[in-house]
Amino acid sequence: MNDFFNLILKKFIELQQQFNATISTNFREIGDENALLPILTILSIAFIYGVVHALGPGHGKLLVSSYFLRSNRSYKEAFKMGYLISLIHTISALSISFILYYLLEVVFSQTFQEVSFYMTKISALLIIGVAIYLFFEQHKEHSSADVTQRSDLSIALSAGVIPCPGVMTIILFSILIGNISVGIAAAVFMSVGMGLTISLSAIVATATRSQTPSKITKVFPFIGNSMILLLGIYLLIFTEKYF
Amino acid sequence: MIKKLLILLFPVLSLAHPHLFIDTKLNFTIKKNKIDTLHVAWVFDDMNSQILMMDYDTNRDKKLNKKETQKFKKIYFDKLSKKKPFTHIKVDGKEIVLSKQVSAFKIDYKKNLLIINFTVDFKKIKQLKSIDIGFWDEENYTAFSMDPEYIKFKGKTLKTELDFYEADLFVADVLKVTL
Repeated sequence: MNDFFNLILKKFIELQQQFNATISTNFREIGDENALLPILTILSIAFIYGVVHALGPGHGKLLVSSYFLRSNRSYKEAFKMGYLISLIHTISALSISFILYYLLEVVFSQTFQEVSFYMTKISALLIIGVAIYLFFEQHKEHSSADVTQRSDLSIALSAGVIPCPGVMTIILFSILIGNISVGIAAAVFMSVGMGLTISLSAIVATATRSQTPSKITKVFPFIGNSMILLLGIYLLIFTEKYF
Repeated sequence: MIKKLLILLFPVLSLAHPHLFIDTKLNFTIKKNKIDTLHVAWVFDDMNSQILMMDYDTNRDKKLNKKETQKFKKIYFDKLSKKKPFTHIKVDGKEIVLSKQVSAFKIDYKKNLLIINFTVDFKKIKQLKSIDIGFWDEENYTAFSMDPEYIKFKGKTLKTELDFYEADLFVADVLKVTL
């Protein structure tokens, strides 16, 4: 059983390595005549890479599922949340990559890790803030649409703001190899893939909630808020610098 | 303690997924039935090779000269090895501290791939039964792969076996060499 699990984990890493290699090989094959096949290959692999990439363990899905466990939300809202997060995640990685590359003269790979470190701390503070806010709002019978919208945005922002190194890698590689437009398109496709997986975790949480008898769901807001708070504390205390 | 408790509460908290992929190549030299030296080559993936070359090949001549290599070694290799070593070696079940044994650090750039070469010296280390070698990054940002095809012996071919190192949420290959 254990060996089986190990093999799956190993395959999971190998798969990502293959995606990574396929994307770079195809970038090199685009050439000056803008060959269509490699571009299409890059975009479709980027999408699948995004789905698989987000499948792995991560705090984003934990945050989103805790959040959607708390209150009655529609599947549409759950779906939207995944996309809001991946949109922010991608924009964050794109802008940080561009700023570091075009505006600052730094050792890129090291500085990117450093920026990620501080963004994670900011994200942690945001998450703690949201948790405290939700605890305050929890005792009210019905939250107003305003409160929901505000907390939705904060959740999306706190989960998405940590820049995705995968997106950064593709973008920077595309700049270096001289095909930035395909790089940006690949980043967008990758984030659409990641959004799908994150949405799925929100939808699963929503479905779990709707299948659970109301006696039990009464404690869900408390459990959800506590999980969000603990996650924030964990990120704040235990995130370490890579370099 | 608190960290362990939180990891127990949230088994999904391993944050990073691998973003940098390294293929390892191992060349053992055997003398008098013992491992004399081990030459290690880490071949970086194309994407990250380009990014690292951009960072360290400051004169843009598509290779790393002595000065550039030193900078790379200082930031990328020494600092990381001190903080979270990627190379893990056990001799007869006992972990060895690597810094004393590593030499001949060299960086190549071939066919768009960055390759780090270094040699681990086993001459002064007592060896009786076996040596375990694995490469992993506790943060799972860098993923190493070990292909039996790239494990070679000079002098004498020893018995090898691939096993897993199990971290919280990833696994890495460990090569057991039996003397």
